[in-house]
Amino acid sequence: MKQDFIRGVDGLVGDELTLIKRNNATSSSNATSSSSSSSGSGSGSGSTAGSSAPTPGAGYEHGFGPHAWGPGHYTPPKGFPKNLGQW
Amino acid sequence: MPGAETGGRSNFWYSFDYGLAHFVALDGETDFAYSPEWPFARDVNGEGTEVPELPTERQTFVTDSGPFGAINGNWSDNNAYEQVQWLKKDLAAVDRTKTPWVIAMSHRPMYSSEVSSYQRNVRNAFESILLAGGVDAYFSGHIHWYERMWPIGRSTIDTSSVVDNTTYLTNPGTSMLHIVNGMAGNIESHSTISNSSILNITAVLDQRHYGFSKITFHNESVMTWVSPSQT
Repeated sequence: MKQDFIRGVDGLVGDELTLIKRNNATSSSNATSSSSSSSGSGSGSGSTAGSSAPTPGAGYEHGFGPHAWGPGHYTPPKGFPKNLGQW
Repeated sequence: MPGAETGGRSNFWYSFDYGLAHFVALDGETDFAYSPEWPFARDVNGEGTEVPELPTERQTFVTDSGPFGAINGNWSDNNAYEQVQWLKKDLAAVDRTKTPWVIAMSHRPMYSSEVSSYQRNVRNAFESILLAGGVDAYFSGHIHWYERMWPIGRSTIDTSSVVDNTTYLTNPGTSMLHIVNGMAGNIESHSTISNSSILNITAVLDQRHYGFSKITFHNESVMTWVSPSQT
């Protein structure tokens, strides 16, 4: 499985995903049949995210990340008011 | 929002049918245990003072954290919450012959490479119910970017449902499709990942583009998702 990280790349074509009902994977449309032909690639056992699975993170304040707004977090773009008030 | 029509609560939690899909909207901010990150009493009294009591009206006002529905028991028990009880009933009533697809959505994600403890609380409240109900996908926002996870359930990547990088199989009871669809455009601009590495649960991450997504239910077996729309 190849991860696709998109950062600072202009002209990028967005993401596309096809989701197929498992029980119908062998009897559906063209997209289905073409995809289901390789559906046996997985082992079925799965891989555990384990230690990298979500755990309490650092740097968060009341559930909002440093990207979010709120006191101490908001850096307004030019032309926008600095104080958005209480939310 | 059809809260009353579906037995939900105003615009906080509700459901509706559209075409081949049943959509369930959940309140990821309030009305589940430790929503979104810790109990009401701690919001009011501070860390280390989480007294096991139901929130009062005053506390609700102060914290701006609900609850907006009833809590029929202890606040730390997800099953006590009206929203959780409603979700179970709603999913049980889905007529799959009319809406073979079931989509859940809420503001906060359950999984992301931008890890935070609220994700665990959202998972604890809803994930097992959604999996048991055969929900196909969970869409969220909160983080201002686009992120598609590998099929995942109970913090385990379901590799058996990965056909290729752009094709997944559903796997009711085991995994769902999770997408953080938070790149609509905000004056705060995009989120940027604060971790040094992107987790293996993430298949696609776009921290650059604004846009929206389009979902198409072609029939009872095939759904496609296109995002973001490029301009």
